[in-house]
Amino acid sequence: MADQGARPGAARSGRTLVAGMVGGVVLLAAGCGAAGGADGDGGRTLDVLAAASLGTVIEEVAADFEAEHPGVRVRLSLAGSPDLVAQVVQGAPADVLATADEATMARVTSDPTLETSAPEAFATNTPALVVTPGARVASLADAARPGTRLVVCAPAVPCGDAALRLADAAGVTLHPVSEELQVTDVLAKVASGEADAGVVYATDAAAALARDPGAVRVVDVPEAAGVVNRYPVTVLEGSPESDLAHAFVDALTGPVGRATLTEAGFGAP
Amino acid sequence: MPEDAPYAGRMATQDGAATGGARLEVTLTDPPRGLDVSIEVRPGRTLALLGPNGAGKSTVLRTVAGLHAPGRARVVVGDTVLSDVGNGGRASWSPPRKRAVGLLDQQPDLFGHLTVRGNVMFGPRAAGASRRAARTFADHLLDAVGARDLARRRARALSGGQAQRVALARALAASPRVLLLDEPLAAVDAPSARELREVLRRVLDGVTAVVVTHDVADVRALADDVVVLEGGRVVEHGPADELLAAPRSAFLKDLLEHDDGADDLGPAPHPAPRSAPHSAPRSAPSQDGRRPVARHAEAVEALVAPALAGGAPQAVRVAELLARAAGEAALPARVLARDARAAVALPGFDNSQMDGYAVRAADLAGATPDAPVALPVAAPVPAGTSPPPLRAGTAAPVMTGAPLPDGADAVVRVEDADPPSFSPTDVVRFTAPVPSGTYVRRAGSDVAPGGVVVPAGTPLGPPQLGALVAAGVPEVAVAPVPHVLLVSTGSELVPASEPLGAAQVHDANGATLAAALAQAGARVTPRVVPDAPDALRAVLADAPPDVALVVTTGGVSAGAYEVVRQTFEEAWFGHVAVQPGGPQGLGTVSLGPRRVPLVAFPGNPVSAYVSFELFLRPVLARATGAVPARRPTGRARLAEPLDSPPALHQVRRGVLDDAGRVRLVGGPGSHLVSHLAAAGLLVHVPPGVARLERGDDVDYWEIR
Amino acid sequence: MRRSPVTTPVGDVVPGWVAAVAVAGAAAVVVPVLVLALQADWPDLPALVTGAAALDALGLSLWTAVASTLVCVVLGVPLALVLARTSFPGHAAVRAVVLLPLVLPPVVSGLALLATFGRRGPVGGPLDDLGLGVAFTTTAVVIAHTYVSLPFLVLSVEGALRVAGARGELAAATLGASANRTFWVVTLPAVAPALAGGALLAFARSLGEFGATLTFAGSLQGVTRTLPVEIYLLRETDPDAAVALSMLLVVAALVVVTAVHSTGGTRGLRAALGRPPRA
Repeated sequence: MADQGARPGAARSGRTLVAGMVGGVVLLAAGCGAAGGADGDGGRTLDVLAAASLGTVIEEVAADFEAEHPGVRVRLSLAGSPDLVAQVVQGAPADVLATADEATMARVTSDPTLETSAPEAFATNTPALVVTPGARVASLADAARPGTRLVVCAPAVPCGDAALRLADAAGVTLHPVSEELQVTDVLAKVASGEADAGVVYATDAAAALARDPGAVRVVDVPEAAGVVNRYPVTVLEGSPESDLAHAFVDALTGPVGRATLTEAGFGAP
Repeated sequence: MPEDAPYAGRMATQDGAATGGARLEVTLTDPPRGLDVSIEVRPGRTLALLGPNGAGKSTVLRTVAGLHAPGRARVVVGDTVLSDVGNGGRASWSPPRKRAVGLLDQQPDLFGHLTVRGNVMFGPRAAGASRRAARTFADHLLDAVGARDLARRRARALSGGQAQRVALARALAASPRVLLLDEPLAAVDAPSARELREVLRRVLDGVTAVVVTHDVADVRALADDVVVLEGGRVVEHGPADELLAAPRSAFLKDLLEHDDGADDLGPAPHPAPRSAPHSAPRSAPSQDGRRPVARHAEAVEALVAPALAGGAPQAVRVAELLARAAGEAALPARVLARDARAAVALPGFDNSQMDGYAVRAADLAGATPDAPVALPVAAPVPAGTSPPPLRAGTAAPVMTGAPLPDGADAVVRVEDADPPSFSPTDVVRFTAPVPSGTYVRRAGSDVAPGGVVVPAGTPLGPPQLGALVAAGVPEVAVAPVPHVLLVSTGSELVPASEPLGAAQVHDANGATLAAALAQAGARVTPRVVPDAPDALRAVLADAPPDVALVVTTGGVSAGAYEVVRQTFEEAWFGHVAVQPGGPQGLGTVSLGPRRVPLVAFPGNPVSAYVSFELFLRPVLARATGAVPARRPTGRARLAEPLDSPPALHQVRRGVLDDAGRVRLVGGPGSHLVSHLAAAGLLVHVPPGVARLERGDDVDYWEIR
Repeated sequence: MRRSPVTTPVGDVVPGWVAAVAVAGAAAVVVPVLVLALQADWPDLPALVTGAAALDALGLSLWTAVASTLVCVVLGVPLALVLARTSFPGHAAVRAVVLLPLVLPPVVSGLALLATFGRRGPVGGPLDDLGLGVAFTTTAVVIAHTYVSLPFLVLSVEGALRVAGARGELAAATLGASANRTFWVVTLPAVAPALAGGALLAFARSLGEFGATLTFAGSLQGVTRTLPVEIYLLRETDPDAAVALSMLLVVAALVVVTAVHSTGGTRGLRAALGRPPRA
């Protein structure tokens, strides 16, 4: 009877309270990291996880995509590739995943609990040597010389790996004074003059120069062309929006995406 | 200091007691606290400083220790001025660590992280003693306070009584010249207090010390002298045994009343907190209900003298004093507030003490009667001019007081020369050598430049003025003229110059006392108020800001309209064993932010005048330099018999007759103004005398 | 640790709902640490924390924390004494500024230090010209640690000085001691427990410093890569090692906090924080 159920007994009130509170906390937590394919107004949402270095490019592509697909909202999550992978593995909602290197992507595609489309390389990036204006560094060899304050990314970070491969290719040994955790830290230290030189991605250098043409100087390293970093993208097939996800990947790899990527300094796959 | 030099501080003796303390003198004025105190502790004596809470006792101690800087202060220990602030001149102030003034507080404030011995060694170590020497000295003092067995204990692990013992040893170890104790036993449990008091009694013997306490047991055990502070002023002082036997101040009486005399029961409870520093209960009358004359005089002095001593010295030009002295105004009474120092040497030049010959002593070295030295006579030296130098091998006639010529270093009296007179002669013979300096008054031999010509505290009379002029002193600092507010109370009174209404009288009292006060060197503002407390308060509220003393007449008896008594509830009112002038009052009144002494005399003109002569004039004259400082006294035979109440000190008015005998003017009744006007003597009949016959000797004071 | 001899049943004094929220609050702090501990690969923990990079980071963290704690003591005790015992115009402002690193985001502290001690900073520039540049050196780590840790020490000691009062120092003065002797023999020993407590807190703060170090000093194994930075780096490539090292820091923090509490060293800090600056 409705009456019975509606009248809580005294003995139950404590348990109800605790249960209510726990429930409330859970709901609150869920709200904080809100997920789900359906929007409140009935539209559709596409979760796109992309490497931070794709930032501006992926934003433009997403804007175009939304314009072409009314009622669709692209929710972007930009972070370091390993963070993205960790989130996907932990079960974060994701329809599309684009990482900055294939090794990281492999950790998703090889995970038996996840079903993904075959990763498709859609862009390449190459390392670049940036130096602070006024620094007497004209080559990678100069930058590698002890006494030059060279900063690179830590080897565990893709840009650090790229720096190591570049050094290998050029046959020099780097003596960095610091191994930063993010490529932006490298750029910041070179731009501020704290460091003399740094190894970043060509796209980072291009972005920095776009913001401030005098911030850094890019030193041509011929071997960089051979140290190519491929950006793969994949669709997580468990997603209820996998058709939309494939459409998004098509946009990224299609002519519009291609043009945007080129503009940002990315190479063709 | 060599590593193993024994360290004995400045004054340790075998039993660990420190001796040979220095004299302590402290004067401080702190208007915000209403303090105006002057205290002296003689070397090696212990002074108990008593008074209600808020009386300023701790402020006095903190000032001596250098932890408090009041508006004006002067602290002298031995010959060392520790503080001299706000007294004009360059202020000087020594920091606490350079004072050699020890402080033992209610709380021991031991250094908790050090051992007991480490605490006691602290002072000697700070003074540069080697570790070993300091340790030896510390153990010595720990023995003296009975805490040797605690030497290795951590100070924070001690009980209150133990800690206070150690604090005492620590203070003594720093070899203070003066030791201050601020309620040293107040925070200690009773049995420990008893023991510690005994320790204190032993170690304070011979130490200059000031003990602030609320406990009569402390006073009995420790004090040589007692000072009672009330409302920031000294109201009573004297040897401890005397004051304990016959307390005068309300506070001390109250304290003794609450003391059951059982010294061994530990600290007596503190007197109950008082709403105001002066609201001590009215003191109980002494055994016969009357206060002896001498004691009241001392009480008045204790209260009034410090107040009159306050105030900034005034600069006065000597020439101005001379001009006034030569005019009709006569020499005003002034006391030097600071040493007057010579601007020039006295005498200003070397001169001769004798009429004789100025010579060079060396020229006469070989003179004997058999082989006299003959010297050519140079030009005589006149007084008032600068003589030419004396050539070697000549003698110049010189008169007494005349300057000695340069080169001359001795004078041979003319009667010792040959010829023995200033006869016209070319050559004079000397039959004996003369030591250099003979009969020469050297420049500055009286007073060197900068030397003290007239010391502070001296009244300026004719000889002093002469000395000042001679020493070229243009200006002196004199004590300010005390301003006295003189209030005659009585609804029947009319000021002297105004017409009388029905049942009204002129204020003879005010007239008499105003003149007497002025003669004693004070400046007087007279006021007349009816028998209404509000009127009296209004006059006080309106008082000039520099009033140093309030004197009232009337309103002190036990009648219904005793306005003075009603207005100043917190002052002492009682009977003094004197006739006339029995009812008296004494206390302090608030004038704005200040408290100034109040001396309340009875309303009868003769009583008031006699009271003034007995109690106030001596204090006033000493402060102002009025002459005579004391009334000239004499002793003569009575021309007629007299009767006197044996319990009282009777003061009769009289004159000396042609035969030099004392004739009384008027009877003992106190209201006869005309008789007073005719009198030239105050005749003293001491207590215990019921009748004197004609021909008996009596003491008198001349009052004209 | 002392325990109150009387325990009050919940509900007598504290409403039930308050107690429930309190449990949630405690859980908010405890649960994440517990979960992290559960994730830790305890059997392999020794192996995980003894890798060359981990040991380098641990060693570097320990000795830079010790060094910065010493610097904090040298700089902080005089500062605390001046703040506790003197008054001067701007006293309150100085005190507030000293507190600043407590509340600044570490990255802001790092930027401020970079601006000052960086190659182009007013201090770092001349130093760099002399070949004494601190950028990318272990010295920079110590500077960053000192900057963020100093307030803990100053507040602890200042609070203790205020609690202790100046009576001991006055007593020393009346015993003839110079200010210098008084400082060494009386003042400093009297606040020794608070100094120890403050130093431990400063040490712990240094051990956990991340943001300012990363921003200001950089990150290079054995030179500037402290344990927190190493953990941050490892969390991507070797999460197990990251958790293991995290456990190491958690244990170290617990040890320090317990030690500080048992020395009573936080009394001064609490007094300092609980009391407004002297007017």
